[in-house]
Amino acid sequence: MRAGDQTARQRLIEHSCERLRGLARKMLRQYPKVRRWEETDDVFVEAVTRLHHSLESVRPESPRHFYNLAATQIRRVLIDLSRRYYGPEGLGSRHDTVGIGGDGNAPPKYEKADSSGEPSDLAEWTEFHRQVDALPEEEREVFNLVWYQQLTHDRAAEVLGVTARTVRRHWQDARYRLYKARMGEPLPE
Amino acid sequence: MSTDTDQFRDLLDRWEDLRDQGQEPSIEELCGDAPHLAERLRDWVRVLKMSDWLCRSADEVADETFGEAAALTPEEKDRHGVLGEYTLLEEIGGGGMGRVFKAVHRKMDRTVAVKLLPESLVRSPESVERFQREIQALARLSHPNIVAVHDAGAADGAHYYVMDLIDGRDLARFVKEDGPLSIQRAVDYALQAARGLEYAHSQGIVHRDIKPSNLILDRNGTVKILDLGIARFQPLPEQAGDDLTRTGCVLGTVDYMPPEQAMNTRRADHRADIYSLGCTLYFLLTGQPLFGGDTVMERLVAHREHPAPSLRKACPTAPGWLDGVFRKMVAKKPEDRYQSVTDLVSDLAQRSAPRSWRWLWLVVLTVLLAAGAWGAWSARTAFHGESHTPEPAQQKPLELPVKPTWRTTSEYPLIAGVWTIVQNKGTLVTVVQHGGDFVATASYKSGKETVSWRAEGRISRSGHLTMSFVHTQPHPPDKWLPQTRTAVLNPNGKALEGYAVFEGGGHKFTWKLVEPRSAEEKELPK
Repeated sequence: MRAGDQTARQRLIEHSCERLRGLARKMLRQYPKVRRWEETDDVFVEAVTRLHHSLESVRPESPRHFYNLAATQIRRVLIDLSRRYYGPEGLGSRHDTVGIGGDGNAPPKYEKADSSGEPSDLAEWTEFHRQVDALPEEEREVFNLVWYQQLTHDRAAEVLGVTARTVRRHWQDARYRLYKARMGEPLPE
Repeated sequence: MSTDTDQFRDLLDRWEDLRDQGQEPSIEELCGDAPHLAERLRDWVRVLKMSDWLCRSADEVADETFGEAAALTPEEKDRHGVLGEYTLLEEIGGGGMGRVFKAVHRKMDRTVAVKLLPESLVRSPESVERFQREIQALARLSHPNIVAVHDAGAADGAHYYVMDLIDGRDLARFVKEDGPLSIQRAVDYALQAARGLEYAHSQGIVHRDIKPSNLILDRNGTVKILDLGIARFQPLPEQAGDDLTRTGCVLGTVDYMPPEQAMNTRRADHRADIYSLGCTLYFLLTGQPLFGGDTVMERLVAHREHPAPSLRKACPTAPGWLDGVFRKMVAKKPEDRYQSVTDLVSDLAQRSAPRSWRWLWLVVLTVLLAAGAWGAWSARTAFHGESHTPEPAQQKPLELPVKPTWRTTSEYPLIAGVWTIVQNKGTLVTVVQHGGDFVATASYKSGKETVSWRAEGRISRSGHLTMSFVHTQPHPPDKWLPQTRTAVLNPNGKALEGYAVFEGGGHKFTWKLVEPRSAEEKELPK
């Protein structure tokens, strides 16, 4: 992505926005109180607009720089978004939805991840994104490319200037570390 | 240790590779040569298995993400036949909000349009109730520029609502097929839509999805707003079709969406409809959306931040005042727009007709002078049996045989000159004039039909009348649209004489001036 290559740049931004949208929808899908379309649509548009702006305003030096920046922004937007919808003042807490048990005015209770291992509510998602932020740099970079940006290992290796094998290792490590962190299990020596 | 680590990573890679091939390798087998690594490998395998969700491909994620927005169920797709009280005849459309069928009420034998909502829209009892409540509110609306909703119901698990079947084309299709509209037409259609919105807003209903494809032009030249109030039920916008890409769907119809609605739907009030109508007006005149851009985000951001393009640049024939109205409609901040559709209707109607009183007086004066000249010339001819060139400036002007009277109407908020004219065949024509511009409406019997007629045009300072837009009911406007129209106000002859070329050939017409009849009409203010 050369400087001035607007088309490539726009494509990357669009790609990031798409991914953000997908992730946001995925997160909110597990949050039935805010799933009504008025709410979710707002969320997407606002989040995507914000991401678009942040990416528009920077001049990435390289694809690597761009992808990392985009992934970081996606995380930030998603975390902020969760915060908006989670907690006593969150929008979601003010909307009751038929079929959802419990007190509609209370924030959703924290629940452990479901059997798929995927975060099951916004609190977990927020925590997950934060934990990604806390990964060692090399693992975070790979995680950014492979998960937030959906690049193949080969492409990620190309962007990072390392071997696909290295990408694979960091990807394994990142997943391992994240799971342990989420479950509160100690990392082995 | 390093060797152990390398060996362990190799084992882990091997395990992943086999798993990718659909196998479920046992830890014991894998660690046959290095049993001391088995426990560690087991722990990693457990963790990585639990992290499978992170490894789904983009496509899988997309499917999962969007899959829920499944279109209609197979049952819905196959559902032709009976739905409640209605027999479905044929599918006539579809889109974001479900499929539309031509249907007939089984008892009343009335042909209607039935819109079948995707089940995902009305899944919970609460949404069903809300839907029914909204439909009841919509059913109470009655306005010529709104597609009437009659009924709603549920049958076989499908929710539907019933509305008028409109014989016509939506404006998106109209422009696509016929090209951009003339100024007069575009303004007329925007004005009609605005009147429908004005009424809806007065009933507390905001559309939120005004766009050309939601405005139907019937065969009588009447624009009707479709899907009023229904946008609120739009759950997962990727169900929208036709002119939207998947991305576009999620963000709604971005080409017509005001900035505040893009940012937060709840912030969008009635002024959002004004913005969307402004974008629609631009499209009608240019055939293009307000902002270009290959990606949805580009367009979305443009709506929010880029200044609206000049209407006159895109449509050089657009008058300056129209550009002004358009700009006010599409102001970024709602507070900079028209604050009500009533204001918009008033401005649009007023500006699309006259610009100032000065013009009105000039025209009246011109007409009076011309009348004087004609009268003097006629009198001289009658007395002397010869023709002379009139000398209007030196003659005492004669008054028109029928004075224009003045009135304020809801349709034309400014006081306007009104002539009531009887055509030579007995047609009653009311001409409402603002300055040089006029709107003439007529209603007359033609065989068994009562034909209503509406023309717009301009009377020049020399008394020449030019019709630029004519439409009639019940016949389609095209059939009656004169290609050439001109007329001369002939006050002394108590007539407006003109000539128009229609499809079938030339047609001379004469309108006779008579006293105004309407009770609304008042004497000319001094």
